[in-house]
Amino acid sequence: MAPRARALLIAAPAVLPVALVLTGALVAALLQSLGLLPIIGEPEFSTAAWDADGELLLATGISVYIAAASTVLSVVVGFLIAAYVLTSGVSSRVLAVLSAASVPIPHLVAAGAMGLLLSDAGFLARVFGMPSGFPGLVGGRGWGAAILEFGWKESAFVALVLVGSMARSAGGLCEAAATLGASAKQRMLHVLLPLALPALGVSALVVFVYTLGSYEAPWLLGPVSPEPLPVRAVRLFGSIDLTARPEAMATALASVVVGLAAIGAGLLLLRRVRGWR
Amino acid sequence: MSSSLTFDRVSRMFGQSEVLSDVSLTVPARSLVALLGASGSGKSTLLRIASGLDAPSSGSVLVDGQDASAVPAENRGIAVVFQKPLLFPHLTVVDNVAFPARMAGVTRREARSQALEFLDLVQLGGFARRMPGQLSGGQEQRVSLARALAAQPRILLLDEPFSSLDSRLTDDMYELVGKIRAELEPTIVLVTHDRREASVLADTIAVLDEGTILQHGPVPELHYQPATRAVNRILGGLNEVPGHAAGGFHTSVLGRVRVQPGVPDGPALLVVRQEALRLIRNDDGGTSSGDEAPTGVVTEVKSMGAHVLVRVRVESAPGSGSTAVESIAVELAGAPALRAGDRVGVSLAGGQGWVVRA
Repeated sequence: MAPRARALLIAAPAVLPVALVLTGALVAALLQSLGLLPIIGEPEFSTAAWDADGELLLATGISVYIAAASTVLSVVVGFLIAAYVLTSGVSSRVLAVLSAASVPIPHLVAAGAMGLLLSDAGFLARVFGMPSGFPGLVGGRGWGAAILEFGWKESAFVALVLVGSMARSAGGLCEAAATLGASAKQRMLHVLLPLALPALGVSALVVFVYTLGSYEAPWLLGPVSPEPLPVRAVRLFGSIDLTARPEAMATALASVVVGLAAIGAGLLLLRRVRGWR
Repeated sequence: MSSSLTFDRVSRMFGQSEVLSDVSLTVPARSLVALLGASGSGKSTLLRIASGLDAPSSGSVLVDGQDASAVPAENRGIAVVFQKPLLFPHLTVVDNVAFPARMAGVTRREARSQALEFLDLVQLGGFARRMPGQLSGGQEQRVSLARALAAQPRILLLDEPFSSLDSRLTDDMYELVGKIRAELEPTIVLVTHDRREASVLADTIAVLDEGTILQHGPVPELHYQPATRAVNRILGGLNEVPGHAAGGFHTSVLGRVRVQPGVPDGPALLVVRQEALRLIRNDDGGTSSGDEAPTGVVTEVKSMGAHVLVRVRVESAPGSGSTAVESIAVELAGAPALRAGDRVGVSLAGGQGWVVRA
């Protein structure tokens, strides 16, 4: 048996059930979003759920904004943490432990903690004497608290991925660069950053797709309206109005489409990065 | 521009362990000094301290007489070629070699132009556009050497750069180092555990053992006039014949041998290179021809390629008043017709010996 066929056969027991459930769920969601699988009444084809007064487009825009901002923040902070951990001495281990410690904290708990810290009557506002100009991070239009929560949690994830992927090579290459006249900043930009690009790209994709579909932080820390895709999907799905179900499914599918598009574009870009293949 | 390098009473502690202890050594400008020692002797630590990648616990590093201890690695002008080539995997060969110039602010075009000259020097001009992963081990190390030279360092440090190459490639690299020395005259410090490599490349060898320099001197001096037993062993000497020194002579199973002046009377070891001994064979299997050479019985004949190592059990000459027996190693060229059990005479070429304290 050819090695490729053998590998596929070995993976089949794990892959097939996942593929079946995923395909079934997506097809069912698509049919419901098009009115072909109604909870009540007769099936009737309709695209009304996909263009409900532009709300779906607005929700998509908000979700992409939150995911993009969170990804940029996570990637920048994660890279800086990884660079410090890889090139510094004993003190870097403390930072590595602190970063790793934040990974197992659930996003729901982290979002709650971020709310208590950043709300206009929260811990920081009280520390600063409840200033009237305290930024509206929680519930504000900029989704600041949600983005910060994602940035905090996901930067630790990015840092761990980068440290794991570069631990064996970064130290020696940075030392070689130093003896060739590269300053600390040059070593970071001309050695560590190019080395990190493949892992950075992959972890950025993971963070983007995760934050695009994550519900807890935007729900707890964002404004009531407008809503990002996951918050809207959960609200409509749980609504007592069963006719809202097609809109819930369209909203969920929109996040799937955006996620798949991001993965496709990301993989195309990564193929251009040297060292990825 | 080549500079001198001086280690002034350099020590380095790792926790409670002292890896380097009061090391003082001067490397003159344009010379090649080899730091020879076994793994764990502290030679790579000394190199890291010289390059600024590590700091001494005490003592200082002087470049052209100026204390460089506070100067960071990137500003020392000391380039290192490591055991692994450590080429940047995201850069082509030419961009790897152009890296130092780029970091110094030279334009890409100019840096690449300079890099090509150094690639030509290491005979890899045709590999400029390749990625490091497309090179063999020897080619990678050549690029690494070219990259270090492209930094135009005041001092070049080589940290066992040829240890992972096969013997043919190693010989090529030795030729290359000779060519670079002739063309650029850099000051070079070579760290190695290979005494042949040190002997082939270096002007002088500093023998490092357990964090201290045991002896520093020209290559022949270390081989034929070692300061201690440890130096003799590190340089591959196999013979340390116990005996007694008195009046400028050493008496042992090898007979009465003239030694260096100034040796105090008392017990002493005669260190004699296995390459400096000759065997004299009598066809009748009896004692040696009438030149009073001590005699013995061959106990082992071991092939070393083009040479053989013969071990001879030498007994004290009859009437010498001694019953001592010593195993003496003799290295011979060719393939002499010797077998275990043959009786041979042993003679010391030149008749001059060297003793160290017992």
